Amino acid sequence: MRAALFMLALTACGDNRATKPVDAGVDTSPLAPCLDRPDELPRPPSTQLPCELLPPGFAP
Amino acid sequence: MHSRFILLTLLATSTASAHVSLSSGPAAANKSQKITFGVGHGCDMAGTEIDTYRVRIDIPAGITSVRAFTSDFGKPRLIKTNGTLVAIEWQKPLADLQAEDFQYYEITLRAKVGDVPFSQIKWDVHQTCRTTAGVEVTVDWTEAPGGTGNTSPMLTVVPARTTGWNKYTMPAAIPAAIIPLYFADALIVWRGTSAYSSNPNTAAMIGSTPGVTPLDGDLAANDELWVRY
Repeated sequence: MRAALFMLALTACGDNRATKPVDAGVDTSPLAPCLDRPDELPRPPSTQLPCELLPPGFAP
Repeated sequence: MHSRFILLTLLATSTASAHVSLSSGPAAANKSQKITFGVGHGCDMAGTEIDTYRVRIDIPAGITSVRAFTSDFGKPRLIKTNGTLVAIEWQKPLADLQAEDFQYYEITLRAKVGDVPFSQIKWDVHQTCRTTAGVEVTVDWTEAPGGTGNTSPMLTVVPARTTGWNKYTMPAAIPAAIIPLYFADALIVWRGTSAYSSNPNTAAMIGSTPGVTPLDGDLAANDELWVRY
């Protein structure tokens, strides 16, 4: 009886999908230096101060 | 003494054609560091440029733990009064004297600067040039800024900093005109919602960011600043 319950639990919790889900937080693109990806470099806005130049606790 | 060499020391009626300057830039307050002087030109004597032969640097008050480096002029010589170091002198061997003035020289010492951020320390320097015939002329770089004579090199003392954000409280007021002197290498300086940057692009952003005004007035004692390096 106990063995039958165990098998039932295994069946209920098992992963029946054929492939595992891809972790959305992992970048699967091949690594490349920044100079090869200039469009991805952080750029300041054209007219206003970027947030990293605002001091701690800044409130205009 | 060689009879063909007449050693004649002229009073400081001649001028050096360019400044003896501090080539190492600003110094951090309350730290030991290298301080380098650059000698850009020799002396003008009756329209002729002659080579620098000797340099003496007076040690200002507030400068301690002085260690002198061997320089382009050779080993240093300490000048003391009652056991206290008052000056350091470097003199090149006569064999190294150039017939013309074309060299740039550097002299370095290591010293601890006092805890006097946002100030300038006046260094008096005495430059002696010598012709191959043995004629010497000494130029004193001892005038305070704004005077009519040869201006002393002025060491700008800035507060110690770390990369990133630094918070300072101004120990004394400084006029707006010399804010760039103390923050030339800062990414940005903030007092409240007013900001300054020596970078023209950042300065333009300061002017066009809503709620932010350019920091273009005097700084007062006890003003709090956020500075990013």
